Amino acid sequence: MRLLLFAALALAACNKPAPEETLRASMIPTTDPGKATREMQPLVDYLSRHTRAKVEMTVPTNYAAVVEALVNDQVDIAHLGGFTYVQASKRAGVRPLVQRERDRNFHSLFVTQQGSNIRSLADLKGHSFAFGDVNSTSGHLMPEYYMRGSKVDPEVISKALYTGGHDATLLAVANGKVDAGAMDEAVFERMTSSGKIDPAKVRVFYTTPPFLDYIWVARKGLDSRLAQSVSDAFLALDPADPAQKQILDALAASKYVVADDADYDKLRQAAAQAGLLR
Amino acid sequence: MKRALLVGAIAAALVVCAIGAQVQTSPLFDPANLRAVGAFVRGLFPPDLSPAFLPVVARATLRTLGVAVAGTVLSMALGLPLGILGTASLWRRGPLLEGERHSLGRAALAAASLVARGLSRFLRAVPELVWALFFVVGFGLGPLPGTLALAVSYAGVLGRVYADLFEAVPPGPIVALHASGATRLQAFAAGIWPQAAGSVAAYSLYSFECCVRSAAVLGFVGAGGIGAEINLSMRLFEYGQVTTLLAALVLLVLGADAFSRALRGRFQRNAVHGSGLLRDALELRSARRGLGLVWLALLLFAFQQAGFVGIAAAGLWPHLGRFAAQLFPPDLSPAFLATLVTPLWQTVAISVVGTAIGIALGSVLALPATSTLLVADPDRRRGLPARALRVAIHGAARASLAVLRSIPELVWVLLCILAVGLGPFAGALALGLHTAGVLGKLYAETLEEVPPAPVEELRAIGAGALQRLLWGMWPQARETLASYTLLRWETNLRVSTVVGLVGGGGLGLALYNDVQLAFYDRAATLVLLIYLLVAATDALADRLRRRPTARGIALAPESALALIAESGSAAAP
Repeated sequence: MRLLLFAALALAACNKPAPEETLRASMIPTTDPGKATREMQPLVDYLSRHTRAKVEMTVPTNYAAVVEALVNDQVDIAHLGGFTYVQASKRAGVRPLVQRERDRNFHSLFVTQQGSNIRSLADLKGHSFAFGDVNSTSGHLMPEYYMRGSKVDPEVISKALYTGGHDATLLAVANGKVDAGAMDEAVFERMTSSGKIDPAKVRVFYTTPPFLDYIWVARKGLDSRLAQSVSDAFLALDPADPAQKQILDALAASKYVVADDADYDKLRQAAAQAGLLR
Repeated sequence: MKRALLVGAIAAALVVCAIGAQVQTSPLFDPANLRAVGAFVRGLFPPDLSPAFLPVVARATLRTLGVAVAGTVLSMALGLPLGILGTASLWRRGPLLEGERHSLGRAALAAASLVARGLSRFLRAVPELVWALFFVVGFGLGPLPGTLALAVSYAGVLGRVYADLFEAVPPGPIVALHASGATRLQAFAAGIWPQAAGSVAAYSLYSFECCVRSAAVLGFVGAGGIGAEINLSMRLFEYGQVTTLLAALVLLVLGADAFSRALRGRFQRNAVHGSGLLRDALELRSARRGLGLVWLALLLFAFQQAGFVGIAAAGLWPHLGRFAAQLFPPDLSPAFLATLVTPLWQTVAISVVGTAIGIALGSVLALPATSTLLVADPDRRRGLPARALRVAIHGAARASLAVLRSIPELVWVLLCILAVGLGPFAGALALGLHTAGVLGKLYAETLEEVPPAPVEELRAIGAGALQRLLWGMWPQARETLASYTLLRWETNLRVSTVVGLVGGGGLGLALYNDVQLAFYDRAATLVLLIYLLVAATDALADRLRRRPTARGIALAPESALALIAESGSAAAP
């Protein structure tokens, strides 16, 4: 009798709905990867609820690792920069999902210390300079593009440091470790408004013309219903809801919109011209 | 006249290399750079010992040790077959083959033996950091790619070392076994292994020491451990954390050295009686089974730390296959090859300038670090303060050499970038600082160990320290000093191919960029180029070494040492 009961229980266990799906998410480490993983926990919880999948977020230590993971089907959705998107779309055929409204009209900021005598790109001559990751759109590619365009001393570019992240760049400038740096405007806003950096210590001396940047993508083979539910989850983020407002703030977003691949053609051309895309 | 020409040629070559390595004195005195270095040095103190950070250090240290242990064990497992197959006296020449019929099977085995030797050469010529960079792409971030990089790279080293050891055993037993009709493997098991096992164990332990040093820097390319943490802390400008991590690194390296020295002593004592390795293993089994289980548990723990839990993950192997497929065919288009001329030249220049800086700084520090020159002076007429000052200078010189040596080249690169900016000069300077620590120690030890009789004679006729150095020590030590320096240049050439991975210019920079941008066919070309460069240097250095010297000193054993004397302690086992 006891055996029968055990068998029945075992059968019942088998009849349980299949274990929930896992959605493997990743983000390029625009800021310190350890911190980023913690800050994204509310987003992970929100996506898990919305897609009914178990979301697992990993943030590696460099940008290229995320592209590589997409190529190898090791992640399902990912947050990429403009240039990493162009790479991933070429190499892995990733599908664009959504982006922040501001990503369609994004800028890099050139920052220096409040008391420095750098007032324009031309003044950079003879000063130390910091970029973010080599593969960063707003932390390297576009700043370098506009620096070359305005004939900044090539020595400044060739001797620049790569901090690996926008937060590190701003910290380096604020603490006087480098004379100036180029970075993502959204990270700048977040760090100065949250008090992580004393706004009185830094000064923006140049803002680039607008370009297209960050985007959420799905890997090529991801179930389209799951991909759609990820998009829907982002599009449904409501700033009126305090919990969702917190998520939007962590992402430095006000609103998400549907992303379109064709918009990135200009960036593709720029990257190809610079010999960074084949 | 001839000598003047030689000196002139060397000076000219140095100047050309200095231009190639973009040596400049101005950045060294640039106030902005001095401020950055000043901020860095100030930031190093106090070390970050906060309760939040210490567990991070402990985890990273454990992981690095795990990677080193697992890497060593795997490299021995791969290196042994490579070594046996690569042993010329088993398959290609010598008494075993005399009187055997020439057959297809014999030719095939001889060919396989040559292939094993070539494979060993390739595996060790490509620096482990390059292997790690590739494996990180192939396997993903984490300790696993680091472990495999060590395994592959040191399998190449051990394959060669084992083969050299097997070839060097006295041939008597093999000849006897061959005469009694033993097969080659039987001849190996009974005639070669028992004679070589002690040295095999000693060299394997020595390569473990080198693995620990290597494991610590693999994190720079994403393979976890202390290197990854140092990289991250540098990036976040948390220099106090860097101090703590460097201290942990030095303790780990010293601990590994002490452990391996202790074990090596035991193996060598046993080796006198025959098969040291086998006897020791047998003793372990019978008398100390409990201890054996502890060792096994520690080994399993090391493999777990080294990331082997994930090796069975679905999709890992096909993924690796896809990655490997992207390496072929390597990009050999003339347009791409033309872009490699500058980085190639920079790499050579970095190694030469780095070695030159190392010789200069190392010599300056070596003289006060030589105890026979400074402190072991039996002249009691001097007052106590003068002697105390001498002891203090001696201690300071030794300590400076130890610090220069124990900080890995790649960490020096990160520091030098602060001082002189990104580029080949930072690489050359970094190489020079580390080399100074290594060469300074070797120079000092060589001077201390010259036969004392001629020096004492000079002392007896009233020669001062400088005269004793010039007329008593230098002539006796010259050849050894030169061979150590040549060896170090070989090592530095390998290192100069990778300083670019962290911003030090040369081929490493080109390789890093191509891997980041996923131009893998170009990366494959760069690896081939690195292999050719390192192989060419080895051949050149071998020629220089074989040149008959006036006193006919055979420097042959140095070559085996050269293979494992990766960084730091170049003391023979």
